[in-house]
Amino acid sequence: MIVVQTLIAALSLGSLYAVLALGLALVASIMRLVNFAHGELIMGAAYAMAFSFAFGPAAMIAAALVVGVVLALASDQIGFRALRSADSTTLFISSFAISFLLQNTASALFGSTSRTVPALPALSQPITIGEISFPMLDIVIIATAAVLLGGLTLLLKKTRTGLRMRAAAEDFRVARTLGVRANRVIALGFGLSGLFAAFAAVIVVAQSGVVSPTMGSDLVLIAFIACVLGGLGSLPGAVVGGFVLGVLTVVLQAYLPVELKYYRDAFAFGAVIILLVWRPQGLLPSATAGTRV
Amino acid sequence: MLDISQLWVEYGKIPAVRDVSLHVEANEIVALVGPNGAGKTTVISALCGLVTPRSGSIQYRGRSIVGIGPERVFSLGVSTVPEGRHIFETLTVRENLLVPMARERPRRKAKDDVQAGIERFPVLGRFLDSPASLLSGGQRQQLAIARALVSRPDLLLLDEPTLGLDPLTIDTVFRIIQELRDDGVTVLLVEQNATRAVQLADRSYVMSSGEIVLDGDRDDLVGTADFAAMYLGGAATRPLATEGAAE
Repeated sequence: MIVVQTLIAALSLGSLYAVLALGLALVASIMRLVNFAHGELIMGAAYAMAFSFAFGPAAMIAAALVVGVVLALASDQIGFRALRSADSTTLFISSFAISFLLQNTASALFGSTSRTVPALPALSQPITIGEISFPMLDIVIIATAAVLLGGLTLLLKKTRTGLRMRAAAEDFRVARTLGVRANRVIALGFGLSGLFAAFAAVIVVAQSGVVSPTMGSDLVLIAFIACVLGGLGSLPGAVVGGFVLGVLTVVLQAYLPVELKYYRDAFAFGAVIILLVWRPQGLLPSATAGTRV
Repeated sequence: MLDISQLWVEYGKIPAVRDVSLHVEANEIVALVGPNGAGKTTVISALCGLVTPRSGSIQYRGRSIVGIGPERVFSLGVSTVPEGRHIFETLTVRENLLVPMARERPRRKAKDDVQAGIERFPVLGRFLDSPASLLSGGQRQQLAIARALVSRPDLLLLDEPTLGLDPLTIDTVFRIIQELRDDGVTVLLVEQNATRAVQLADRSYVMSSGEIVLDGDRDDLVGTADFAAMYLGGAATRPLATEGAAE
């Protein structure tokens, strides 16, 4: 019974990590940019949920989606569009600047301390099947991630827009010479990234019931590690990296001796290092993780 | 159709193309030949909008295309086959052919265009739904040319289309270029296989160290001592004379 409960918890955390990592990878695959402001997109969407709580869960989710996507598109317009021809280091620094700007803006507007968002009561209910009991939230998280991954796969595989995104992700310069519009594809990548950030915010707020200006920092770090583990710039890699990291974390939490549980993350990241020594390019690397836009 | 005048391109402070002027008339094949590092690919990059020149003008059908970006250059009817093929390896052959289709082109018409592309390059038909990474070098080159043609361009920029190919496939590529001219496509061909390119082209330009040092039609060029010095065995022993070469 413990094994099944652990498996559900592992899939749930893996799903969250996959959603986090995909949000980061969508931009990285096209622009070869690790957008460290992605955590602040999640934070912004989480605050939107906090302020729309009085209007019910649907309004909270809608507010998160709008704020996540708008912040993502705005960060591209303000922080990256003027730097299209700059090198990766410049973009990287710009992403940190946007991250700090959004964090400090949130601190100035909403205070630097955490704010409680009452958990969605329906999701707090446990589900009991025989001797197995697990939170409904875990199932909702797994289902949400499945729908997001399925939707993204359909978009990329079955639409012409998706085809152009995949072509741009593989070789942006050549794609542009074949008529793929750079700014449109990049904006779409950022928009989708914001959408994934918003869903990550919904999951995190539903789990923790807390928002704070710095809540995105740890989340973007997890997303980054999952992306590197899967192969930076690879969308399937981000999903695999997210699930491997999530499953690893839950399994260690369940089976480490009590006196070592405190060091769970050290063990998890130690395992990530070993995996990267074995496969430095990641578990499912991008076919052409070379030139940037 | 295409007029380049006094084109200068620099990478940092290093000049790659210096004062290059050339023109291409409709329905011509014009060859741009020269040794490695002569600046030929940089000219193509400037033409297709990937590189912004320091100075000079590029007029296509009477309008300047400098600085408008590769997407806009493509939308004006200029298609590029880049050096090294650069097919999308993770996409299928069919998907590669669909990438240049205009967004607004109906699916059925896009399908017809893919079919037309395959008729010219029948070997691709066998791999339509296979990943492009499975293709051989010659097949990749054919896919790169087919991909550039599905949008029905008026001007095709071909950058080193025979590089790394076996002699039989080189023959095929040159035959295809010949057929393109017969179909009314204008071609600017960049080649290291200079003798063969000059024989095929209506007119040719020879580049060296970023400059055009010779130009003319095949009879003009093949008979000149300078061209012979560069391409028929004398290049290593005698520097190229530049007097009176390029306009």
